[in-house]
Amino acid sequence: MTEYLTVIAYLFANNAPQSFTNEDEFGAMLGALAQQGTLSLTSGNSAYLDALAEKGKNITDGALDIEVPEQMLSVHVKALQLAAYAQTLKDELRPGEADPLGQIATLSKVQGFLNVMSSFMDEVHARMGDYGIEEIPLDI
Amino acid sequence: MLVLFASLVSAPAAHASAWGEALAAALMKQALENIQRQIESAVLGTLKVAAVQVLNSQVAQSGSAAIALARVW
Repeated sequence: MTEYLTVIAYLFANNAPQSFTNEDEFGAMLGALAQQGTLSLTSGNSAYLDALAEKGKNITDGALDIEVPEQMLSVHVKALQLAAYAQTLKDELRPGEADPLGQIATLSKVQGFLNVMSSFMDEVHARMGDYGIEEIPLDI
Repeated sequence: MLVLFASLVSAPAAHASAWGEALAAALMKQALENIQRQIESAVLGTLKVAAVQVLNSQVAQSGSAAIALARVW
């Protein structure tokens, strides 16, 4: 379990949009990610989202090659499914100012995805709590 | 959007051996809520654009009808 969490953590860290070395920088990175991601989404300039999707693909490719503990298998599979859906959703995100209703439909899909993501994060947090995991190890 | 998924797990620190899972989860939850709020604002803004387009369309149709009526008279 420890090795699994460590490998996953490194996969995400190595493909993060900005490097970070402590929890403050991690929080700042997430804030910038939220801001720039939303801006890219609403402005129709998909360059930022495309770059993020590329990094996300690196993560999912790496996640397919690691050994998964049995107790994390369902979470791991669900995470990969969400990642695959996120990839398809990104391809739909081509809003244009000339089509506000289409843009609303797209944003609604994103909201639905975010709600699912939020539930999934709660599930992961609860699962870690069930197994008494309070820290994410960073040394293999 | 794939990057939202990328905010699931914590990250490496150069000299730390572990990060608090609860803090990382809280940070990621906060980021998700920020994005949700910004998207709600974007939806509201887009709704206003749609409303303006509908109004413009109706005004244009009313104008055409008025011109047609004037020609009949």
